[in-house]
Amino acid sequence: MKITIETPAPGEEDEIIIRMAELDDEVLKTIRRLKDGAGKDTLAVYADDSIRMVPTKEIYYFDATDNHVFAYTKDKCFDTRKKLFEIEELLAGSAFLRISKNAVVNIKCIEHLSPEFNGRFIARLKNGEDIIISRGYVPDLKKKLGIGR
Amino acid sequence: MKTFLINFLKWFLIINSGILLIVGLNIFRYESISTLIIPQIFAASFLTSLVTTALFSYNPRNPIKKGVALLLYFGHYLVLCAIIMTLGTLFEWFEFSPKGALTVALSVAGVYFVSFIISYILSKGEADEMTKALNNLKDE
Repeated sequence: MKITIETPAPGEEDEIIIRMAELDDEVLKTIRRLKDGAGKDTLAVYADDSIRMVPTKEIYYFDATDNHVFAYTKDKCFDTRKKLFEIEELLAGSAFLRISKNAVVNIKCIEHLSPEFNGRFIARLKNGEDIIISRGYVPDLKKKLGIGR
Repeated sequence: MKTFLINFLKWFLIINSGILLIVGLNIFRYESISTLIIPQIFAASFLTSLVTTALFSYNPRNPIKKGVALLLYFGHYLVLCAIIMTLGTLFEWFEFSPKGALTVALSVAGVYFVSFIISYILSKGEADEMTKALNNLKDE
């Protein structure tokens, strides 16, 4: 594949043109990332009608509530205006991992884990918050940590 | 549904083993014992496993407070006692009397306590192993 990068004329808007006979999944994912203005390092979030770019390493976890997905940092909360599966896709391969039907956590922000009622686990985060890891997502976490089968 | 069935099978094996253990400890008190005891044990295991799986399918969003968890465990224990007492009376394992009720309560408490301790030790070990791996990951 040929990649051409041109510098726009002064005052001209930045533009990305993709010329392909057929768009494959990888390119579609890249387009989505470009459109979202995000990569694995930063994420566009919304607070009081303004958009902010937040470094993903500062995000402790994402939680889906009432059709909104919120990004929680140490002491702030932002609306992402994305679906949880989009966040999951966007941050695939990074330190983020789905831990329940409604949450994706940054495993680097977990302080420690402890068992809870009915085989679930509680993840104590660096800011002292507790979130639930559902039993069904434990194998994925173990895989990510390089333990278990 | 698949998860429910897997959990049900897991609990069935644990509870069935617990009931067999209790029966095994008491079996020598009898001169003869009917072969009907086998399907009866399976019936008791089936019902108690069903209740246990249903309770442990309760999956609230937030961590459960310790007091609430203790209440749930106690409620679960009482339901198991009621099931075993009803089936035990029906199958003539013991008489429906204060002594019989006490036997059931103690037997269920024994199985419950042992299962709880084993389950907690296993889960704690699992949690510690993951915490250790997490710390190693952060150090990298």
